[in-house]
Amino acid sequence: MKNIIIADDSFFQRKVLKDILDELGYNSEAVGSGEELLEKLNDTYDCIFLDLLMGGMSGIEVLEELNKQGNKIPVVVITADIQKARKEESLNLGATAFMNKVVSKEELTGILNDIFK
Amino acid sequence: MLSSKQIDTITEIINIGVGKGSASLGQMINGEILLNVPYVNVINFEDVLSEIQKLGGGDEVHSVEMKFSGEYEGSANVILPGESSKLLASLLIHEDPDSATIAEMKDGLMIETGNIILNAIMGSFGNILDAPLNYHMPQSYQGDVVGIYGLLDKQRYHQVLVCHTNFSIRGKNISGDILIMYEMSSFNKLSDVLNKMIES
Repeated sequence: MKNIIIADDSFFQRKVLKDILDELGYNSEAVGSGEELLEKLNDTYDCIFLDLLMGGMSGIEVLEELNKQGNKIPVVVITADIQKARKEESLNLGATAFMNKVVSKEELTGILNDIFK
Repeated sequence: MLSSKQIDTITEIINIGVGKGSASLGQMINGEILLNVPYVNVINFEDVLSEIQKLGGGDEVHSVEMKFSGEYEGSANVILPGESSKLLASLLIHEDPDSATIAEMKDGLMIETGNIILNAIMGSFGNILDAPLNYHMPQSYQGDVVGIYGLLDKQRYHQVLVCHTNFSIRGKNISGDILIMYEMSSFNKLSDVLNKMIES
Protein backbone atom coordinates (compact mmCIF):
# COMPACT_ATOMS: atom_id res chain seq x y z
CA MET A 1 0.00 0.00 0.00
CA LYS A 2 1.32 3.47 -0.92
CA ASN A 3 2.11 5.89 1.92
CA ILE A 4 1.14 9.53 1.59
CA ILE A 5 2.03 12.32 4.00
CA ILE A 6 -0.10 15.46 4.13
CA ALA A 7 1.23 18.81 5.37
CA ASP A 8 -1.55 21.34 5.93
CA ASP A 9 -2.16 23.68 8.85
CA SER A 10 -5.94 23.31 8.51
CA PHE A 11 -7.51 20.51 10.50
CA PHE A 12 -10.45 20.51 8.11
CA GLN A 13 -8.29 20.03 5.01
CA ARG A 14 -6.22 17.32 6.69
CA LYS A 15 -9.40 15.46 7.57
CA VAL A 16 -10.95 15.86 4.09
CA LEU A 17 -7.79 14.62 2.37
CA LYS A 18 -7.26 11.74 4.80
CA ASP A 19 -10.89 10.62 4.37
CA ILE A 20 -10.55 10.59 0.58
CA LEU A 21 -7.20 8.79 0.67
CA ASP A 22 -8.58 6.17 3.07
CA GLU A 23 -11.49 5.62 0.72
CA LEU A 24 -9.11 5.25 -2.24
CA GLY A 25 -7.07 2.66 -0.36
CA TYR A 26 -3.97 4.70 0.44
CA ASN A 27 -2.17 4.82 3.75
CA SER A 28 -2.00 8.41 4.92
CA GLU A 29 -0.85 10.51 7.80
CA ALA A 30 -0.95 14.24 8.34
CA VAL A 31 1.15 16.94 9.93
CA GLY A 32 0.24 20.57 10.62
CA SER A 33 3.34 22.40 9.40
CA GLY A 34 6.23 22.39 6.95
CA GLU A 35 8.71 21.96 9.78
CA GLU A 36 6.95 18.81 11.01
CA LEU A 37 6.91 17.45 7.48
CA LEU A 38 10.65 17.91 7.02
CA GLU A 39 11.31 16.37 10.41
CA LYS A 40 9.18 13.34 9.70
CA LEU A 41 10.03 12.78 6.05
CA ASN A 42 11.87 9.61 5.10
CA ASP A 43 11.95 7.24 2.14
CA THR A 44 9.00 5.17 3.37
CA TYR A 45 6.69 7.83 1.93
CA ASP A 46 5.60 7.55 -1.69
CA CYS A 47 4.01 10.97 -2.08
CA ILE A 48 3.75 14.32 -0.28
CA PHE A 49 0.65 16.53 -0.25
CA LEU A 50 1.78 20.07 0.54
CA ASP A 51 -0.20 23.19 1.39
CA LEU A 52 1.43 26.52 0.52
CA LEU A 53 0.12 29.10 2.98
CA MET A 54 1.07 27.76 6.40
CA GLY A 55 2.33 29.39 9.58
CA GLY A 56 6.09 29.00 10.02
CA MET A 57 7.64 27.60 6.85
CA SER A 58 5.53 28.22 3.79
CA GLY A 59 5.02 25.47 1.24
CA ILE A 60 7.32 27.32 -1.16
CA GLU A 61 10.08 27.30 1.48
CA VAL A 62 9.46 23.59 2.02
CA LEU A 63 9.83 22.96 -1.72
CA GLU A 64 13.11 24.89 -1.71
CA GLU A 65 14.37 22.84 1.24
CA LEU A 66 13.30 19.59 -0.41
CA ASN A 67 15.26 20.63 -3.50
CA LYS A 68 18.37 21.22 -1.40
CA GLN A 69 17.96 17.77 0.12
CA GLY A 70 17.66 16.16 -3.32
CA ASN A 71 14.13 14.94 -2.67
CA LYS A 72 12.84 12.29 -5.07
CA ILE A 73 9.38 11.82 -3.56
CA PRO A 74 6.61 13.30 -5.74
CA VAL A 75 5.08 16.45 -4.24
CA VAL A 76 1.49 17.44 -4.94
CA VAL A 77 0.81 21.06 -4.00
CA ILE A 78 -2.76 21.50 -2.75
CA THR A 79 -3.56 25.15 -2.14
CA ALA A 80 -6.33 27.72 -2.14
CA ASP A 81 -4.06 30.04 -4.15
CA ILE A 82 -5.39 30.01 -7.71
CA GLN A 83 -2.76 32.35 -9.16
CA LYS A 84 -0.98 31.18 -12.29
CA ALA A 85 2.26 32.67 -10.96
CA ARG A 86 2.06 30.47 -7.86
CA LYS A 87 1.45 27.37 -9.95
CA GLU A 88 4.47 28.14 -12.14
CA GLU A 89 6.62 28.83 -9.07
CA SER A 90 5.60 25.52 -7.47
CA LEU A 91 6.20 23.47 -10.62
CA ASN A 92 9.53 25.23 -11.21
CA LEU A 93 10.54 24.25 -7.69
CA GLY A 94 9.91 20.61 -8.49
CA ALA A 95 6.28 19.99 -7.53
CA THR A 96 4.87 17.10 -9.55
CA ALA A 97 1.33 18.50 -9.61
CA PHE A 98 -0.58 21.58 -8.51
CA MET A 99 -4.19 21.38 -7.33
CA ASN A 100 -6.59 23.98 -6.01
CA LYS A 101 -8.67 23.44 -2.90
CA VAL A 102 -11.29 22.08 -2.62
CA VAL A 103 -10.12 18.85 -4.27
CA SER A 104 -12.56 16.13 -5.23
CA LYS A 105 -12.08 12.40 -5.01
CA GLU A 106 -12.07 12.21 -8.82
CA GLU A 107 -9.30 14.82 -9.16
CA LEU A 108 -7.17 13.07 -6.54
CA THR A 109 -7.71 9.71 -8.19
CA GLY A 110 -6.51 11.13 -11.51
CA ILE A 111 -3.38 12.74 -10.03
CA LEU A 112 -2.43 9.68 -7.98
CA ASN A 113 -3.00 7.34 -10.93
CA ASP A 114 -0.63 9.52 -12.97
CA ILE A 115 2.00 9.49 -10.21
CA PHE A 116 1.85 5.76 -9.48
CA LYS A 117 1.27 4.42 -13.00
CA MET B 1 -12.82 58.62 -8.33
CA LEU B 2 -13.34 55.60 -10.54
CA SER B 3 -15.06 55.79 -13.89
CA SER B 4 -18.10 53.63 -14.56
CA LYS B 5 -15.98 51.47 -16.90
CA GLN B 6 -13.36 50.92 -14.19
CA ILE B 7 -16.07 49.99 -11.70
CA ASP B 8 -17.61 47.65 -14.22
CA THR B 9 -14.22 45.96 -14.77
CA ILE B 10 -13.55 45.52 -11.05
CA THR B 11 -17.08 44.24 -10.53
CA GLU B 12 -16.53 41.62 -13.19
CA ILE B 13 -13.20 40.52 -11.70
CA ILE B 14 -14.86 40.23 -8.26
CA ASN B 15 -17.72 38.31 -9.86
CA ILE B 16 -15.32 35.77 -11.36
CA GLY B 17 -13.45 35.36 -8.08
CA VAL B 18 -16.56 35.12 -5.95
CA GLY B 19 -17.94 32.56 -8.40
CA LYS B 20 -14.85 30.41 -7.92
CA GLY B 21 -14.84 30.91 -4.16
CA SER B 22 -18.50 30.07 -3.82
CA ALA B 23 -18.09 26.96 -5.95
CA SER B 24 -15.40 25.79 -3.53
CA LEU B 25 -17.53 26.63 -0.51
CA GLY B 26 -20.49 24.81 -2.08
CA GLN B 27 -18.26 21.76 -2.56
CA MET B 28 -17.11 21.92 1.06
CA ILE B 29 -20.64 21.88 2.45
CA ASN B 30 -22.35 20.06 -0.41
CA GLY B 31 -24.80 22.92 -0.84
CA GLU B 32 -25.75 25.76 -3.15
CA ILE B 33 -24.38 29.25 -2.64
CA LEU B 34 -26.45 32.24 -3.71
CA LEU B 35 -24.62 35.41 -4.70
CA ASN B 36 -25.47 39.07 -5.10
CA VAL B 37 -23.92 41.48 -7.57
CA PRO B 38 -20.83 43.10 -6.02
CA TYR B 39 -20.82 46.75 -5.05
CA VAL B 40 -17.62 48.66 -5.74
CA ASN B 41 -16.91 52.15 -4.47
CA VAL B 42 -14.18 54.48 -3.24
CA ILE B 43 -14.74 55.87 0.24
CA ASN B 44 -12.80 57.70 2.92
CA PHE B 45 -11.50 55.59 5.75
CA GLU B 46 -13.80 57.43 8.19
CA ASP B 47 -16.73 55.92 6.31
CA VAL B 48 -15.49 52.34 6.57
CA LEU B 49 -17.31 51.74 9.84
CA SER B 50 -20.67 52.79 8.45
CA GLU B 51 -19.91 50.61 5.41
CA ILE B 52 -19.20 47.63 7.67
CA GLN B 53 -22.31 48.39 9.73
CA LYS B 54 -24.37 48.09 6.53
CA LEU B 55 -23.23 44.50 6.20
CA GLY B 56 -26.00 43.21 8.42
CA GLY B 57 -23.78 41.11 10.62
CA GLY B 58 -25.36 42.46 13.78
CA ASP B 59 -23.45 43.15 16.95
CA GLU B 60 -21.55 39.87 17.03
CA VAL B 61 -19.65 38.96 13.89
CA HIS B 62 -16.92 36.48 12.97
CA SER B 63 -14.49 37.92 10.49
CA VAL B 64 -11.51 36.45 8.66
CA GLU B 65 -9.00 38.91 7.29
CA MET B 66 -6.29 38.09 4.76
CA LYS B 67 -3.82 40.87 4.06
CA PHE B 68 -2.14 40.89 0.68
CA SER B 69 0.95 42.55 -0.69
CA GLY B 70 2.98 42.60 -3.86
CA GLU B 71 1.82 44.72 -6.80
CA TYR B 72 -1.16 45.79 -4.72
CA GLU B 73 -1.59 46.00 -0.98
CA GLY B 74 -4.66 45.79 1.13
CA SER B 75 -6.97 43.62 3.10
CA ALA B 76 -9.64 41.12 2.08
CA ASN B 77 -12.27 40.10 4.61
CA VAL B 78 -15.08 37.60 4.97
CA ILE B 79 -17.54 38.73 7.64
CA LEU B 80 -20.32 36.51 8.95
CA PRO B 81 -22.89 37.11 11.67
CA GLY B 82 -21.95 35.05 14.74
CA GLU B 83 -24.85 32.62 14.31
CA SER B 84 -24.03 32.07 10.62
CA SER B 85 -20.43 31.21 11.39
CA LYS B 86 -21.56 28.62 13.95
CA LEU B 87 -23.99 27.04 11.48
CA LEU B 88 -21.39 27.05 8.71
CA ALA B 89 -18.84 25.35 10.98
CA SER B 90 -21.44 22.73 11.89
CA LEU B 91 -22.11 22.01 8.20
CA LEU B 92 -18.40 21.56 7.56
CA ILE B 93 -17.77 18.93 10.20
CA HIS B 94 -21.29 17.61 10.75
CA GLU B 95 -21.47 18.49 14.42
CA ASP B 96 -24.22 20.18 16.42
CA PRO B 97 -23.80 23.99 16.15
CA ASP B 98 -23.98 24.33 19.92
CA SER B 99 -21.57 21.49 20.68
CA ALA B 100 -18.25 21.88 22.46
CA THR B 101 -16.50 20.60 19.32
CA ILE B 102 -17.85 23.51 17.28
CA ALA B 103 -16.93 25.98 20.01
CA GLU B 104 -13.40 24.59 19.95
CA MET B 105 -12.94 24.29 16.19
CA LYS B 106 -14.99 27.16 14.77
CA ASP B 107 -12.06 29.54 14.57
CA GLY B 108 -9.89 27.18 12.53
CA LEU B 109 -12.79 26.23 10.28
CA MET B 110 -13.61 29.87 9.61
CA ILE B 111 -9.99 30.64 8.82
CA GLU B 112 -9.84 27.83 6.26
CA THR B 113 -13.18 28.84 4.74
CA GLY B 114 -12.05 32.47 4.54
CA ASN B 115 -8.73 31.35 3.10
CA ILE B 116 -10.42 29.50 0.24
CA ILE B 117 -12.96 32.22 -0.58
CA LEU B 118 -10.51 35.11 -0.36
CA ASN B 119 -7.80 33.29 -2.32
CA ALA B 120 -10.31 32.70 -5.11
CA ILE B 121 -11.24 36.38 -5.26
CA MET B 122 -7.78 37.85 -4.87
CA GLY B 123 -6.30 35.19 -7.14
CA SER B 124 -8.66 36.36 -9.86
CA PHE B 125 -7.29 39.88 -9.43
CA GLY B 126 -3.74 38.56 -9.59
CA ASN B 127 -4.42 36.48 -12.68
CA ILE B 128 -6.51 38.94 -14.65
CA LEU B 129 -4.31 41.95 -13.88
CA ASP B 130 -1.17 39.84 -14.32
CA ALA B 131 0.10 41.04 -10.94
CA PRO B 132 0.89 38.20 -8.53
CA LEU B 133 0.01 38.83 -4.90
CA ASN B 134 1.58 37.49 -1.75
CA TYR B 135 -0.83 36.49 0.96
CA HIS B 136 -0.33 36.81 4.67
CA MET B 137 -1.68 34.20 7.07
CA PRO B 138 -5.42 34.74 7.52
CA GLN B 139 -6.47 36.09 10.91
CA SER B 140 -9.79 35.49 12.61
CA TYR B 141 -11.63 38.02 14.75
CA GLN B 142 -14.82 37.70 16.74
CA GLY B 143 -16.68 40.61 18.24
CA ASP B 144 -18.64 43.67 17.26
CA VAL B 145 -17.99 45.62 14.09
CA VAL B 146 -16.59 48.56 16.01
CA GLY B 147 -13.97 46.27 17.53
CA ILE B 148 -13.00 44.97 14.09
CA TYR B 149 -12.91 48.48 12.67
CA GLY B 150 -10.52 49.43 15.46
CA LEU B 151 -8.11 46.72 14.31
CA LEU B 152 -7.68 48.21 10.84
CA ASP B 153 -4.56 50.17 10.12
CA LYS B 154 -5.78 53.76 9.92
CA GLN B 155 -2.45 55.05 8.61
CA ARG B 156 -2.58 52.84 5.56
CA TYR B 157 -6.19 53.25 4.62
CA HIS B 158 -6.61 56.96 4.01
CA GLN B 159 -8.89 56.38 1.08
CA VAL B 160 -10.29 52.96 0.45
CA LEU B 161 -11.49 51.09 -2.57
CA VAL B 162 -14.29 48.98 -1.18
CA CYS B 163 -15.52 45.90 -2.99
CA HIS B 164 -18.46 44.37 -1.20
CA THR B 165 -20.66 41.42 -1.98
CA ASN B 166 -23.07 39.23 -0.09
CA PHE B 167 -23.61 35.48 -0.21
CA SER B 168 -26.02 33.05 1.37
CA ILE B 169 -26.51 29.30 1.42
CA ARG B 170 -29.76 28.01 -0.01
CA GLY B 171 -32.02 26.44 2.57
CA LYS B 172 -29.78 27.47 5.45
CA ASN B 173 -29.89 30.54 7.60
CA ILE B 174 -26.32 31.45 6.68
CA SER B 175 -25.17 34.63 5.01
CA GLY B 176 -21.98 36.60 4.86
CA ASP B 177 -20.21 39.56 3.35
CA ILE B 178 -16.95 39.95 1.51
CA LEU B 179 -15.11 43.23 1.89
CA ILE B 180 -11.89 44.10 0.08
CA MET B 181 -9.98 47.28 0.84
CA TYR B 182 -7.10 48.58 -1.24
CA GLU B 183 -4.49 50.81 0.29
CA MET B 184 -4.28 54.22 -1.42
CA SER B 185 -1.04 53.89 -3.43
CA SER B 186 -2.20 50.47 -4.61
CA PHE B 187 -5.50 51.97 -5.53
CA ASN B 188 -3.81 54.51 -7.83
CA LYS B 189 -1.80 51.74 -9.46
CA LEU B 190 -4.93 49.65 -9.87
CA SER B 191 -6.70 52.58 -11.49
CA ASP B 192 -3.87 52.94 -14.05
CA VAL B 193 -3.91 49.24 -14.88
CA LEU B 194 -7.68 49.25 -15.28
CA ASN B 195 -7.41 52.21 -17.67
CA LYS B 196 -4.89 50.32 -19.78
CA MET B 197 -7.16 47.28 -19.84
CA ILE B 198 -10.16 49.35 -20.82
CA GLU B 199 -8.29 51.23 -23.55
CA SER B 200 -6.61 48.18 -25.07
